[in-house]
Amino acid sequence: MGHIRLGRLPKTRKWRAVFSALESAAPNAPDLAAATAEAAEERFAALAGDPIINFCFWTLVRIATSARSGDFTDELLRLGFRVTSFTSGLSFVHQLSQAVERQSRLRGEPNVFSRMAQLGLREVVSANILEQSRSLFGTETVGIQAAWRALSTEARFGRVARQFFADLMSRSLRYLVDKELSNHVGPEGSFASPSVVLEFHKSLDGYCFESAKIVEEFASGWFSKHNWQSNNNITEANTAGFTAYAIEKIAMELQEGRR
Amino acid sequence: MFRTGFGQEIPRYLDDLLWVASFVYMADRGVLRYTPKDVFADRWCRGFRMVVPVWDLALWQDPKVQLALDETLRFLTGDEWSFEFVQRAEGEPIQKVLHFHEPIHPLPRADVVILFSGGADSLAAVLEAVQQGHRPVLVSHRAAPVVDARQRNLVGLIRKRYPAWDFPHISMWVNRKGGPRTKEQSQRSRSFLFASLGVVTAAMLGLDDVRLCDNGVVSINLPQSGQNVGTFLTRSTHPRHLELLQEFARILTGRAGLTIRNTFIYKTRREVFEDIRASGHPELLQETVSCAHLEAMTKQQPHCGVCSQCIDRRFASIAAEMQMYDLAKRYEKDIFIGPLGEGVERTHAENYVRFARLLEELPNADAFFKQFPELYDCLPTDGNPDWHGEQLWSLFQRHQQNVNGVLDLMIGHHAALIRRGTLPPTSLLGLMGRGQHVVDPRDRCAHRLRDLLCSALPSAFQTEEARSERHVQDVGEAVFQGAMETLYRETPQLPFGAVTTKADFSDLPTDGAKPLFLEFKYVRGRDRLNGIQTEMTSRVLVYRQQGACVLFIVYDPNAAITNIGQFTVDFECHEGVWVGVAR
Repeated sequence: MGHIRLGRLPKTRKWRAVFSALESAAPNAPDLAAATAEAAEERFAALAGDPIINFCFWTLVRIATSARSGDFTDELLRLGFRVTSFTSGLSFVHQLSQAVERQSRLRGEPNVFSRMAQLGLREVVSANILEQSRSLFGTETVGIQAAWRALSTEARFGRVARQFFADLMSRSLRYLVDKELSNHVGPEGSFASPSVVLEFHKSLDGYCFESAKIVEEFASGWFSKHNWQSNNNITEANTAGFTAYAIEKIAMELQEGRR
Repeated sequence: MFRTGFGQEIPRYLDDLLWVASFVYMADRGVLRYTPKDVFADRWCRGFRMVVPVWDLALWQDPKVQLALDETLRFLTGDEWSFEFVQRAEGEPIQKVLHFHEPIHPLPRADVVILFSGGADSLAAVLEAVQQGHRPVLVSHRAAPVVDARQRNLVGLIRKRYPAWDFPHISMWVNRKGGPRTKEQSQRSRSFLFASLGVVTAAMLGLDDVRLCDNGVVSINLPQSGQNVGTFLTRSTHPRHLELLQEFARILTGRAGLTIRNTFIYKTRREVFEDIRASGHPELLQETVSCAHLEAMTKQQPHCGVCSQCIDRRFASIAAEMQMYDLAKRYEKDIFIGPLGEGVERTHAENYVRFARLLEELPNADAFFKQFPELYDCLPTDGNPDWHGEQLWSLFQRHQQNVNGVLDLMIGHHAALIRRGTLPPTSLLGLMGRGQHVVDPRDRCAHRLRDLLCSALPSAFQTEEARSERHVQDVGEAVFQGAMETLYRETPQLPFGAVTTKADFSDLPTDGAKPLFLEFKYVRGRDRLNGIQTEMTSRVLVYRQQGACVLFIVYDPNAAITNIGQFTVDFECHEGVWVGVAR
């Protein structure tokens, strides 16, 4: 019990730049992100068409739009929630997590990246409830709806979309980089200690967020336009194009970052 | 068909359960899910379509049973499972591989079933049940002879200490016999088989209390690094798995009161070890084995010392002050001072301490849930989520305190090696680098502040050159003030002061905390450099006399300082003095 499966990156030409970035005297987020995004280019490109990742983003869209209307709880039921009365932010995200998991099964085979998208969705929803309501504990249904209503404006939703895609990309990079990173920790390594690794992860997260700026700008306009055109009813098919665009753009930004 | 030692034949629907669980286990082991070349783990999640003959076809075709089985296995293994049940034919030979090994007759007057692996936590579960006045039946899965011998030995020792009860031990062989070699080692479905043995035993004895116990930190198994995603981490005793399993078992057996629970879910391993000590039989700890590689280990050294289980056990026994019952020499490798091989060994060790360090940084339960959204899977469907959320936060905070406390202790214990510089750099203590995991919080704060100001100043003077040192101070102070709320939030114990003309020591904190002052210097050209160095030297003396710390931000737009490293080290060799050069 309590076993953990670990993996390593292959020492092939494709991943050579990642090893070089890890071995450099002063590893930095842009170089490592660029090298990793380049090595994983094909796999990252495939994420653009992943139906579960798109479903996670669409769920964010639906929560935000329904919070503005009177049928918040009805929309939650349509999204697969089994309970629509919440005693706290924790119970809301818990129900959301289970609903998304159930619905995801209907959309395709799971993989590590779709799992990361689900976790990213939970993180973004938690962060925004926290930002609006100050705590995940004790915030009830009315407070949760109010929090999401505040986030459903054009500008605020752009920010939420940026958080979601930046988080997905950051998790994807850390998933790969962490397969090797521990071998470079210590007085003789590029990372002086585990604490330095934590700082590095933070800078990698921050760098992904910066790289996703273009998503925020585009998402704001996209959200406003499609919401208006669809009369507050953006469909899952509507978001597929945006999801693909967002992933492609961030991956491209990361690859070009060090140039 | 399964024969039992209960003096009665196993009911057919329970026979089916063992049959299904065995099929699942063998299918899980027979299909490779991962190769080192599969960097993106695209083959990790597999799809199984099982056609299983059963006796009680109507029961197994019930959509409720199928849905519950499906959800349980999906969460446990991360795979997709689809079952087609068909009628099992009469007259099939009796299953010889799967059978209850110990004849038990008459039926014991037991009141709880404990799944017994022979590890420290399952021992503690037995001792806990005895302390509570229960009469447990122990159920084991024998995957290998060495495991069997260890379990039997431990049961024998328990019987000697508690002669008032027999501790009936039901142990079942379930493994491959003949056919192709098993390919997959992850065995994520093993827990389902193990628990099924427990459910069958409970149903046969008419009991409703089944316990599958492991400490909370291991049960919840939060990711310690970015590469730990989904079922890369086992979920054998995860609260959601047990909840799903219990629901499935209730539907299948028709026993609405049947519970499958982990009584240690909110206990750290240290606390579980302390329970063993409190039982009055701490010596039993040394008879248990927690290692993931138990088949490859020797009797003298049953623990490899470097797998995630061994690391956690070693830390827990030190934290619980039970090293005398968990001797270091019983570990093949000393995690603290032994060199760790590149790859799995170093990764487990580094991830373990990094995880504890990250937990230490988290300010509250909200941040904990945001950082680890996997935690939402631990909340029960029924019950108060906030209460469980607080329990989880408290559990992992205690865990980090244990781990970080042991690290501090071991650094002290091996201080001579560190001082002499003979500590292997790839040992766990060696990986701590220059002790940065225990860096004074003032250090971290000063570095953050330095990075903030050094990156902001050049941008602030992009269009307009700094007119004077006062001008640099004003801009720097504005940057500092803007970020102050964040900085205070990160290190609330540190008071700040920004020096514009001279340090004001009249308002020093009375609680003993050292204030951190900021002082700005502007190097217009090389001719000012010597003067500035002299000023800084004299300032260092003043700050130290006053018991204060200082961060010098030297704005050097024309690169007058030729060797920044040498420039800063001359000052930073003094405690409580930091220097940042902005250009």
